[in-house]
Amino acid sequence: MVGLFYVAFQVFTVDNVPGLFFAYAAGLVLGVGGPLVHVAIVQRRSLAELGFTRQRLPETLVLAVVLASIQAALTLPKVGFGAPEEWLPLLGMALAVGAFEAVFFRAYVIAVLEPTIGTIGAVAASAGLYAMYHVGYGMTLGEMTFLFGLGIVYVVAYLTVRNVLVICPLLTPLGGFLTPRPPGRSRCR
Amino acid sequence: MPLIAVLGLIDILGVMAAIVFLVRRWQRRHPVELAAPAPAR
Repeated sequence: MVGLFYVAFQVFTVDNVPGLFFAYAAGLVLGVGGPLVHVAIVQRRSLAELGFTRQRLPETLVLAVVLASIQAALTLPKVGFGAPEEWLPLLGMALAVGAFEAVFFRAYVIAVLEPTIGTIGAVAASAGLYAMYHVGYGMTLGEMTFLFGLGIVYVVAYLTVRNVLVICPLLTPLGGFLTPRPPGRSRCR
Repeated sequence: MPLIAVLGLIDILGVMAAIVFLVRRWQRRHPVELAAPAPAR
């Protein structure tokens, strides 16, 4: 998966948009489909263990709006919203990446690792893997250190209600606007 | 070009939603069988 992202952004780059798109799309779909198939079909566990549940829905939605409001206050003022063709693709990408990250780095890592290494270990693993996967976007060590902290925030938010709706589609896609980057490098986190 | 990008990314979200739908349907059709109770001694 990280290999596909690396191929998309470091090999194809914006000089080859179809190649970039298909490599990236394949990575995202694999990142969502893989965990779902592994947990639900191979392990025969409920999708509720991946945060796909209506349980705790009211508190989930309230927390999602509160956290997203804070995130929006931090990120959106820095975004120069121009014509829709400038920010609409970014919004679409942020939603797709946000869905992948919520399912893979929070729900899946917690569902698989928490029973064996405990909650704290699973939180650390979630944040660590989240930071490391950004190597596919060509990020530096300093940026990945920041993302480790951000990964802890996101996974703790998820663990509070164990429902993916608390982090996606509001919180993590808004995080994608945290550091606008030049074309060719993902602006999504 | 931007429109194509948006449609493409909506397409990705659609595929993700389809995966969730198919996995849910698979689970409904293949319910986990409860373990048989241990025989009384």
